[in-house]
Amino acid sequence: MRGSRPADNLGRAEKARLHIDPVACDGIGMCAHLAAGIIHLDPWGYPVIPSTDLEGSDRRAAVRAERGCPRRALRLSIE
Amino acid sequence: MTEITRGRALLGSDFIDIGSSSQVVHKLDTRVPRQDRTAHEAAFGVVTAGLEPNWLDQQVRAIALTGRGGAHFPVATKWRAAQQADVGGWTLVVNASEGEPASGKDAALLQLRPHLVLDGAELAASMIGADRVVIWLADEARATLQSLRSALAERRSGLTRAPEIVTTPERYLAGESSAVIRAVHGGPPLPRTTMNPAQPWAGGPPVLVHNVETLARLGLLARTGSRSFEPSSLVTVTDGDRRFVAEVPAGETFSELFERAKVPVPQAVLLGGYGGEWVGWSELALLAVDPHALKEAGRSLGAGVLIALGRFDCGLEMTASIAHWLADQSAGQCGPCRFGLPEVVELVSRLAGRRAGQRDLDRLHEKMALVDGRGACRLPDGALRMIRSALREFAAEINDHRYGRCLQQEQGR
Repeated sequence: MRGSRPADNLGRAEKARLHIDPVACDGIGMCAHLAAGIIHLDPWGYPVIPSTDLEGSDRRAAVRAERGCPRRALRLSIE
Repeated sequence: MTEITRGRALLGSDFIDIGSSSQVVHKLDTRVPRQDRTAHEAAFGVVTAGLEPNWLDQQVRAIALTGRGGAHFPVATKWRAAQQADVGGWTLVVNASEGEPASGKDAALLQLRPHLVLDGAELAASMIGADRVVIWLADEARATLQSLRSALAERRSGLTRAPEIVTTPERYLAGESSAVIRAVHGGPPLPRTTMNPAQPWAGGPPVLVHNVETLARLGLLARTGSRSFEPSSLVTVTDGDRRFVAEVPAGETFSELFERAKVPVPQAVLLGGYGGEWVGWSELALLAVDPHALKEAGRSLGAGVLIALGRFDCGLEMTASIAHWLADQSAGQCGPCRFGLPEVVELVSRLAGRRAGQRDLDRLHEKMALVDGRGACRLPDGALRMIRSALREFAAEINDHRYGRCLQQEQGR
Protein backbone atom coordinates (compact mmCIF):
# COMPACT_ATOMS: atom_id res chain seq x y z
CA MET A 1 0.00 0.00 0.00
CA ARG A 2 2.70 2.45 1.08
CA GLY A 3 4.54 2.46 -2.20
CA SER A 4 1.43 2.96 -4.27
CA ARG A 5 0.54 6.30 -2.80
CA PRO A 6 1.40 9.45 -4.77
CA ALA A 7 4.28 11.40 -3.26
CA ASP A 8 2.15 14.44 -2.43
CA ASN A 9 -0.27 12.43 -0.39
CA LEU A 10 1.96 10.43 1.92
CA GLY A 11 0.78 8.70 5.09
CA ARG A 12 -1.98 10.48 7.01
CA ALA A 13 -0.81 9.18 10.35
CA GLU A 14 2.55 10.91 9.94
CA LYS A 15 3.05 14.48 11.01
CA ALA A 16 4.09 16.97 8.37
CA ARG A 17 5.66 20.24 9.38
CA LEU A 18 7.18 23.03 7.35
CA HIS A 19 10.64 24.37 8.22
CA ILE A 20 12.50 27.36 6.90
CA ASP A 21 16.19 28.07 6.59
CA PRO A 22 16.06 31.83 7.26
CA VAL A 23 19.66 32.24 6.07
CA ALA A 24 18.82 30.80 2.64
CA CYS A 25 15.53 32.71 2.38
CA ASP A 26 15.83 35.94 0.38
CA GLY A 27 12.24 37.04 0.76
CA ILE A 28 11.38 36.40 -2.89
CA GLY A 29 7.87 35.56 -1.72
CA MET A 30 7.06 32.74 -4.13
CA CYS A 31 5.92 30.53 -1.25
CA ALA A 32 3.20 32.97 -0.28
CA HIS A 33 1.74 32.56 -3.77
CA LEU A 34 2.12 28.79 -3.88
CA ALA A 35 0.74 28.23 -0.38
CA ALA A 36 -1.41 31.32 0.06
CA GLY A 37 -3.58 29.82 2.78
CA ILE A 38 -0.79 28.84 5.13
CA ILE A 39 2.15 31.17 4.42
CA HIS A 40 1.89 34.93 4.62
CA LEU A 41 4.58 37.57 4.29
CA ASP A 42 5.66 39.84 7.14
CA PRO A 43 5.95 43.63 6.65
CA TRP A 44 9.47 43.15 5.31
CA GLY A 45 8.46 40.55 2.72
CA TYR A 46 9.68 37.42 4.51
CA PRO A 47 7.46 34.38 4.93
CA VAL A 48 5.87 33.49 8.25
CA ILE A 49 5.71 29.70 8.39
CA PRO A 50 3.01 27.82 10.31
CA SER A 51 4.34 25.94 13.31
CA THR A 52 1.49 23.41 13.36
CA ASP A 53 1.17 19.98 11.79
CA LEU A 54 -0.17 20.24 8.26
CA GLU A 55 -2.89 18.06 6.81
CA GLY A 56 -4.92 17.74 3.63
CA SER A 57 -4.89 20.71 1.29
CA ASP A 58 -2.58 22.67 3.62
CA ARG A 59 -0.07 19.90 3.35
CA ARG A 60 -0.29 19.83 -0.43
CA ALA A 61 0.18 23.59 -0.48
CA ALA A 62 3.27 23.20 1.70
CA VAL A 63 4.70 20.65 -0.74
CA ARG A 64 4.15 23.11 -3.61
CA ALA A 65 5.89 25.87 -1.65
CA GLU A 66 8.79 23.58 -0.77
CA ARG A 67 9.30 22.59 -4.40
CA GLY A 68 8.77 26.06 -5.77
CA CYS A 69 11.17 27.96 -3.49
CA PRO A 70 13.88 29.38 -5.76
CA ARG A 71 16.33 29.46 -2.82
CA ARG A 72 15.49 25.95 -1.63
CA ALA A 73 14.84 27.45 1.81
CA LEU A 74 11.79 25.38 2.72
CA ARG A 75 11.68 21.81 3.91
CA LEU A 76 8.70 19.68 4.80
CA SER A 77 9.57 17.22 7.53
CA ILE A 78 7.53 14.08 7.89
CA GLU A 79 7.66 12.16 11.12
CA MET B 1 32.36 33.05 54.31
CA THR B 2 32.69 29.69 52.65
CA GLU B 3 35.81 29.28 50.62
CA ILE B 4 36.60 26.66 48.10
CA THR B 5 39.45 24.40 49.10
CA ARG B 6 42.76 25.08 47.42
CA GLY B 7 43.32 22.70 44.55
CA ARG B 8 39.59 22.45 44.05
CA ALA B 9 38.95 26.04 43.07
CA LEU B 10 39.18 27.24 39.50
CA LEU B 11 40.39 30.72 40.40
CA GLY B 12 39.95 31.03 44.16
CA SER B 13 38.33 33.69 46.28
CA ASP B 14 40.07 36.75 44.84
CA PHE B 15 38.34 39.20 42.55
CA ILE B 16 40.14 39.37 39.24
CA ASP B 17 39.99 42.74 37.55
CA ILE B 18 39.54 42.69 33.81
CA GLY B 19 40.76 45.53 31.63
CA SER B 20 40.37 46.30 27.96
CA SER B 21 40.81 43.49 25.42
CA SER B 22 39.83 41.18 28.30
CA GLN B 23 43.28 41.44 29.83
CA VAL B 24 43.63 40.45 33.46
CA VAL B 25 44.78 43.47 35.45
CA HIS B 26 47.23 42.46 38.14
CA LYS B 27 47.03 44.50 41.29
CA LEU B 28 49.42 44.34 44.18
CA ASP B 29 46.83 43.27 46.74
CA THR B 30 44.91 40.78 44.61
CA ARG B 31 47.52 39.11 42.55
CA VAL B 32 46.39 35.76 41.19
CA PRO B 33 49.46 34.51 39.35
CA ARG B 34 49.37 32.61 36.09
CA GLN B 35 50.00 28.93 36.65
CA ASP B 36 52.62 27.50 34.37
CA ARG B 37 52.70 23.76 33.99
CA THR B 38 54.81 23.16 37.09
CA ALA B 39 52.63 25.36 39.28
CA HIS B 40 49.53 23.79 37.77
CA GLU B 41 50.65 20.27 38.60
CA ALA B 42 51.71 21.34 42.08
CA ALA B 43 48.26 22.81 42.73
CA PHE B 44 46.05 20.19 41.10
CA GLY B 45 48.21 17.11 40.62
CA VAL B 46 48.43 15.16 37.38
CA VAL B 47 45.47 13.65 35.57
CA THR B 48 45.90 9.90 35.85
CA ALA B 49 47.03 8.53 32.54
CA GLY B 50 44.61 5.96 31.18
CA LEU B 51 41.72 7.39 33.15
CA GLU B 52 38.60 5.29 32.63
CA PRO B 53 36.24 6.99 30.14
CA ASN B 54 33.26 5.36 31.87
CA TRP B 55 34.37 6.74 35.20
CA LEU B 56 34.70 10.28 33.83
CA ASP B 57 31.32 10.01 32.14
CA GLN B 58 29.77 8.99 35.47
CA GLN B 59 31.40 11.90 37.30
CA VAL B 60 30.15 14.36 34.67
CA ARG B 61 26.64 13.00 35.14
CA ALA B 62 26.91 12.99 38.92
CA ILE B 63 27.67 16.72 39.10
CA ALA B 64 25.34 17.45 36.12
CA LEU B 65 28.07 19.38 34.32
CA THR B 66 26.54 21.77 31.82
CA GLY B 67 27.94 24.08 29.15
CA ARG B 68 29.07 27.38 30.62
CA GLY B 69 29.03 29.32 27.36
CA GLY B 70 25.47 30.30 28.24
CA ALA B 71 23.19 27.51 27.07
CA HIS B 72 23.85 25.16 30.03
CA PHE B 73 23.36 22.08 27.87
CA PRO B 74 24.38 18.84 29.65
CA VAL B 75 27.90 17.79 28.66
CA ALA B 76 27.09 14.08 29.00
CA THR B 77 24.23 14.43 26.48
CA LYS B 78 26.56 16.12 23.98
CA TRP B 79 29.10 13.32 24.35
CA ARG B 80 26.48 10.63 23.99
CA ALA B 81 25.15 12.19 20.76
CA ALA B 82 28.70 12.30 19.42
CA GLN B 83 29.41 8.70 20.39
CA GLN B 84 26.16 7.49 18.86
CA ALA B 85 26.66 9.39 15.61
CA ASP B 86 29.10 6.66 14.61
CA VAL B 87 31.38 8.86 12.50
CA GLY B 88 35.12 9.41 12.73
CA GLY B 89 37.50 12.32 12.28
CA TRP B 90 36.15 14.45 15.12
CA THR B 91 37.39 17.94 15.87
CA LEU B 92 37.02 19.27 19.40
CA VAL B 93 36.74 23.04 19.55
CA VAL B 94 37.71 24.95 22.67
CA ASN B 95 35.43 27.95 22.28
CA ALA B 96 37.40 30.82 23.77
CA SER B 97 35.90 33.57 21.64
CA GLU B 98 33.79 34.90 24.52
CA GLY B 99 31.67 37.05 22.23
CA GLU B 100 29.59 38.38 25.16
CA PRO B 101 31.12 41.83 25.46
CA ALA B 102 30.79 42.03 29.25
CA SER B 103 32.17 38.55 29.89
CA GLY B 104 35.77 38.03 30.92
CA LYS B 105 35.74 34.73 32.79
CA ASP B 106 37.06 32.61 29.94
CA ALA B 107 39.86 35.10 29.29
CA ALA B 108 40.70 35.01 33.01
CA LEU B 109 40.84 31.21 33.00
CA LEU B 110 43.07 31.09 29.93
CA GLN B 111 45.38 33.76 31.27
CA LEU B 112 45.66 32.30 34.77
CA ARG B 113 44.78 28.57 34.52
CA PRO B 114 45.56 27.65 30.90
CA HIS B 115 46.62 24.10 31.75
CA LEU B 116 43.39 23.28 33.52
CA VAL B 117 41.51 24.22 30.34
CA LEU B 118 43.92 22.29 28.13
CA ASP B 119 43.64 19.22 30.39
CA GLY B 120 39.87 19.43 30.00
CA ALA B 121 40.22 19.74 26.24
CA GLU B 122 42.40 16.61 26.06
CA LEU B 123 39.92 14.69 28.21
CA ALA B 124 36.91 15.76 26.13
CA ALA B 125 38.80 14.95 22.94
CA SER B 126 39.53 11.44 24.19
CA MET B 127 35.89 10.96 25.25
CA ILE B 128 34.62 11.49 21.70
CA GLY B 129 37.72 10.16 19.92
CA ALA B 130 38.67 13.55 18.44
CA ASP B 131 42.04 13.60 16.72
CA ARG B 132 42.09 17.35 16.30
CA VAL B 133 41.75 20.11 18.87
CA VAL B 134 41.12 23.69 17.75
CA ILE B 135 41.22 26.64 20.13
CA TRP B 136 38.95 29.34 18.75
CA LEU B 137 39.42 32.90 19.94
CA ALA B 138 39.24 36.55 18.96
CA ASP B 139 42.39 37.97 17.39
CA GLU B 140 42.21 40.99 19.70
CA ALA B 141 42.56 38.87 22.84
CA ARG B 142 46.33 39.31 22.90
CA ALA B 143 46.98 38.50 26.55
CA THR B 144 44.93 35.31 26.27
CA LEU B 145 46.71 34.35 23.07
CA GLN B 146 50.10 34.84 24.66
CA SER B 147 49.22 32.75 27.70
CA LEU B 148 47.88 29.99 25.48
CA ARG B 149 50.96 29.93 23.27
CA SER B 150 53.21 29.66 26.32
CA ALA B 151 51.03 26.93 27.77
CA LEU B 152 51.15 24.89 24.57
CA ALA B 153 54.94 25.24 24.52
CA GLU B 154 55.17 24.18 28.18
CA ARG B 155 53.25 20.97 27.58
CA ARG B 156 54.63 19.97 24.19
CA SER B 157 55.14 16.32 25.02
CA GLY B 158 52.84 13.31 24.89
CA LEU B 159 50.24 14.64 22.49
CA THR B 160 50.10 13.10 19.05
CA ARG B 161 48.90 16.34 17.53
CA ALA B 162 49.24 19.69 19.27
CA PRO B 163 46.10 21.82 19.56
CA GLU B 164 45.81 24.50 16.88
CA ILE B 165 44.99 28.10 17.68
CA VAL B 166 42.60 29.68 15.20
CA THR B 167 41.68 33.34 15.57
CA THR B 168 38.69 35.28 14.31
CA PRO B 169 37.82 38.97 14.23
CA GLU B 170 36.08 39.99 17.43
CA ARG B 171 32.33 39.75 16.93
CA TYR B 172 29.35 38.86 19.08
CA LEU B 173 28.34 36.02 16.78
CA ALA B 174 31.82 34.54 16.33
CA GLY B 175 31.25 32.41 19.42
CA GLU B 176 27.85 31.08 18.36
CA SER B 177 28.40 27.36 18.02
CA SER B 178 26.97 26.97 14.50
CA ALA B 179 29.24 29.84 13.43
CA VAL B 180 32.23 28.09 15.02
CA ILE B 181 31.38 24.86 13.22
CA ARG B 182 30.94 26.70 9.93
CA ALA B 183 34.37 28.31 10.36
CA VAL B 184 36.04 24.98 11.22
CA HIS B 185 34.51 23.67 7.98
CA GLY B 186 36.30 26.46 6.13
CA GLY B 187 33.38 28.87 5.82
CA PRO B 188 32.78 32.32 7.29
CA PRO B 189 32.31 32.54 11.09
CA LEU B 190 28.59 33.24 10.79
CA PRO B 191 25.66 31.29 12.23
CA ARG B 192 23.76 28.93 10.01
CA THR B 193 20.49 27.12 10.25
CA THR B 194 20.86 23.72 11.84
CA MET B 195 18.25 21.66 10.04
CA ASN B 196 19.18 18.62 12.11
CA PRO B 197 19.78 19.65 15.75
CA ALA B 198 21.14 16.19 16.57
CA GLN B 199 23.97 16.68 14.04
CA PRO B 200 24.82 20.39 14.11
CA TRP B 201 28.00 19.73 12.14
CA ALA B 202 26.12 18.15 9.19
CA GLY B 203 27.62 19.07 5.83
CA GLY B 204 31.24 18.71 6.94
CA PRO B 205 33.45 16.72 9.29
CA PRO B 206 31.99 16.26 12.79
CA VAL B 207 32.76 19.01 15.29
CA LEU B 208 32.01 19.29 19.00
CA VAL B 209 32.22 22.70 20.65
CA HIS B 210 32.90 23.19 24.36
CA ASN B 211 33.23 26.43 26.26
CA VAL B 212 36.48 27.23 28.12
CA GLU B 213 34.98 27.18 31.61
CA THR B 214 33.22 23.88 30.91
CA LEU B 215 36.59 22.34 30.04
CA ALA B 216 38.33 23.83 33.08
CA ARG B 217 35.66 22.24 35.26
CA LEU B 218 36.23 18.94 33.48
CA GLY B 219 39.97 19.23 34.15
CA LEU B 220 39.20 19.74 37.83
CA LEU B 221 36.59 17.00 38.03
CA ALA B 222 39.04 14.47 36.56
CA ARG B 223 41.16 15.04 39.69
CA THR B 224 38.57 15.33 42.42
CA GLY B 225 35.83 13.01 41.21
CA SER B 226 32.23 14.01 41.86
CA ARG B 227 32.41 13.38 45.63
CA SER B 228 35.14 15.90 46.32
CA PHE B 229 34.13 18.31 43.58
CA GLU B 230 33.19 21.67 45.03
CA PRO B 231 30.64 23.33 42.80
CA SER B 232 31.08 27.02 42.14
CA SER B 233 30.12 29.54 39.49
CA LEU B 234 32.30 31.91 37.56
CA VAL B 235 30.74 35.29 36.95
CA THR B 236 31.87 38.53 35.39
CA VAL B 237 30.45 41.53 37.23
CA THR B 238 30.26 44.94 35.58
CA ASP B 239 29.64 47.87 37.91
CA GLY B 240 30.15 51.20 36.19
CA ASP B 241 33.80 51.35 35.14
CA ARG B 242 34.79 48.31 37.13
CA ARG B 243 34.69 44.81 35.70
CA PHE B 244 35.87 41.73 37.55
CA VAL B 245 35.65 37.97 37.52
CA ALA B 246 34.64 36.12 40.68
CA GLU B 247 34.40 32.47 41.60
CA VAL B 248 31.26 32.15 43.69
CA PRO B 249 31.06 29.22 46.13
CA ALA B 250 27.88 27.15 46.06
CA GLY B 251 25.04 28.73 47.98
CA GLU B 252 26.39 32.26 48.03
CA THR B 253 23.64 34.75 47.18
CA PHE B 254 23.87 37.75 44.90
CA SER B 255 23.57 39.96 47.93
CA GLU B 256 26.49 38.26 49.67
CA LEU B 257 28.61 38.37 46.52
CA PHE B 258 27.97 42.08 45.93
CA GLU B 259 28.71 42.86 49.56
CA ARG B 260 31.93 40.85 49.52
CA ALA B 261 32.99 42.59 46.29
CA LYS B 262 31.94 46.03 47.61
CA VAL B 263 29.53 46.61 44.74
CA PRO B 264 26.90 49.20 45.75
CA VAL B 265 23.33 47.90 45.90
CA PRO B 266 21.98 48.18 42.34
CA GLN B 267 18.42 48.80 41.09
CA ALA B 268 18.50 45.76 38.87
CA VAL B 269 20.98 43.41 37.25
CA LEU B 270 21.16 42.34 33.62
CA LEU B 271 21.58 38.63 34.19
CA GLY B 272 23.19 36.27 31.68
CA GLY B 273 24.53 38.61 29.04
CA TYR B 274 23.33 41.16 26.49
CA GLY B 275 20.62 38.71 25.45
CA GLY B 276 19.74 37.97 29.07
CA GLU B 277 17.12 39.42 31.41
CA TRP B 278 16.87 42.42 33.69
CA VAL B 279 16.03 41.22 37.17
CA GLY B 280 15.10 43.62 39.96
CA TRP B 281 17.44 43.57 42.94
CA SER B 282 14.63 42.74 45.37
CA GLU B 283 14.07 39.47 43.52
CA LEU B 284 17.71 38.69 42.85
CA ALA B 285 19.38 39.62 46.14
CA LEU B 286 18.50 36.44 48.04
CA LEU B 287 18.86 33.99 45.16
CA ALA B 288 21.99 31.84 44.97
CA VAL B 289 24.47 32.58 42.18
CA ASP B 290 24.12 29.09 40.77
CA PRO B 291 22.83 27.89 37.37
CA HIS B 292 20.67 25.15 38.89
CA ALA B 293 19.16 27.35 41.61
CA LEU B 294 18.46 30.10 39.10
CA LYS B 295 16.83 27.66 36.73
CA GLU B 296 14.46 26.63 39.52
CA ALA B 297 13.62 30.29 40.03
CA GLY B 298 12.83 30.59 36.32
CA ARG B 299 16.00 32.54 35.59
CA SER B 300 19.22 31.78 33.75
CA LEU B 301 22.80 32.57 34.65
CA GLY B 302 23.59 32.42 30.92
CA ALA B 303 27.26 33.14 30.35
CA GLY B 304 27.66 34.31 33.96
CA VAL B 305 27.43 37.99 33.06
CA LEU B 306 26.08 40.33 35.74
CA ILE B 307 25.68 43.97 34.75
CA ALA B 308 24.69 46.11 37.72
CA LEU B 309 22.34 48.99 37.02
CA GLY B 310 23.34 51.77 39.41
CA ARG B 311 20.82 53.49 41.66
CA PHE B 312 20.66 56.57 39.46
CA ASP B 313 21.05 54.99 36.03
CA CYS B 314 18.15 54.75 33.61
CA GLY B 315 17.40 51.12 32.76
CA LEU B 316 15.57 52.12 29.60
CA GLU B 317 18.55 54.01 28.25
CA MET B 318 20.82 51.08 29.03
CA THR B 319 18.35 48.75 27.33
CA ALA B 320 18.20 50.92 24.23
CA SER B 321 22.01 51.08 23.95
CA ILE B 322 22.41 47.33 24.33
CA ALA B 323 19.57 46.59 21.90
CA HIS B 324 21.16 48.95 19.39
CA TRP B 325 24.51 47.22 19.80
CA LEU B 326 22.93 43.80 19.31
CA ALA B 327 21.12 44.87 16.14
CA ASP B 328 24.45 46.19 14.85
CA GLN B 329 26.03 42.80 15.51
CA SER B 330 23.44 40.99 13.41
CA ALA B 331 25.04 39.11 10.55
CA GLY B 332 22.17 40.34 8.40
CA GLN B 333 21.58 36.87 7.05
CA CYS B 334 17.93 36.49 8.06
CA GLY B 335 15.28 38.97 6.91
CA PRO B 336 13.34 39.41 10.18
CA CYS B 337 16.55 40.16 12.10
CA ARG B 338 18.01 42.35 9.37
CA PHE B 339 14.92 44.48 8.80
CA GLY B 340 12.71 43.88 11.82
CA LEU B 341 15.21 44.21 14.66
CA PRO B 342 16.28 47.78 13.71
CA GLU B 343 12.62 48.81 13.80
CA VAL B 344 12.24 47.27 17.24
CA VAL B 345 15.39 49.06 18.39
CA GLU B 346 14.14 52.39 17.02
CA LEU B 347 10.97 52.05 19.09
CA VAL B 348 12.95 51.16 22.22
CA SER B 349 15.12 54.24 21.62
CA ARG B 350 12.00 56.40 21.40
CA LEU B 351 10.87 54.94 24.69
CA ALA B 352 14.22 55.67 26.31
CA GLY B 353 14.35 59.13 24.77
CA ARG B 354 10.92 60.06 26.20
CA ARG B 355 9.46 60.37 22.71
CA ALA B 356 7.13 57.36 22.77
CA GLY B 357 3.40 57.20 23.32
CA GLN B 358 1.03 54.29 23.85
CA ARG B 359 0.84 53.68 20.10
CA ASP B 360 4.61 53.21 19.92
CA LEU B 361 4.45 50.78 22.80
CA ASP B 362 1.75 48.77 21.00
CA ARG B 363 3.78 48.81 17.79
CA LEU B 364 6.82 47.65 19.73
CA HIS B 365 4.94 44.57 20.98
CA GLU B 366 3.66 43.83 17.46
CA LYS B 367 7.10 44.08 15.86
CA MET B 368 8.67 41.96 18.56
CA ALA B 369 6.11 39.22 17.96
CA LEU B 370 7.02 39.34 14.26
CA VAL B 371 10.77 38.95 14.82
CA ASP B 372 10.57 36.36 17.59
CA GLY B 373 12.00 32.91 16.78
CA ARG B 374 12.62 33.66 13.13
CA GLY B 375 16.39 33.87 12.96
CA ALA B 376 18.92 31.10 12.37
CA CYS B 377 20.68 31.97 15.63
CA ARG B 378 19.49 33.33 18.94
CA LEU B 379 20.68 36.91 18.50
CA PRO B 380 17.25 38.38 17.72
CA ASP B 381 15.52 36.25 20.37
CA GLY B 382 18.11 37.32 22.94
CA ALA B 383 17.60 40.99 22.08
CA LEU B 384 13.83 40.54 22.45
CA ARG B 385 14.21 38.69 25.75
CA MET B 386 16.31 41.55 27.10
CA ILE B 387 13.87 44.21 25.83
CA ARG B 388 10.81 42.37 27.18
CA SER B 389 12.42 42.01 30.59
CA ALA B 390 13.09 45.77 30.55
CA LEU B 391 9.44 46.48 29.75
CA ARG B 392 8.47 44.39 32.79
CA GLU B 393 11.18 45.56 35.14
CA PHE B 394 11.06 49.25 34.28
CA ALA B 395 7.29 49.57 33.82
CA ALA B 396 7.11 52.52 36.22
CA GLU B 397 9.93 54.29 34.38
CA ILE B 398 8.13 53.76 31.07
CA ASN B 399 5.17 55.59 32.49
CA ASP B 400 7.35 58.48 33.67
CA HIS B 401 9.12 58.63 30.34
CA ARG B 402 5.80 58.97 28.58
CA TYR B 403 5.29 62.21 30.45
CA GLY B 404 8.77 63.33 29.53
CA ARG B 405 10.34 62.55 32.89
CA CYS B 406 13.07 60.25 34.09
CA LEU B 407 12.97 59.97 37.86
CA GLN B 408 16.19 58.00 38.08
CA GLN B 409 18.19 60.72 36.45
CA GLU B 410 16.39 63.53 38.26
CA GLN B 411 17.19 61.93 41.62
CA GLY B 412 20.80 61.41 40.65
CA ARG B 413 21.28 65.06 39.91
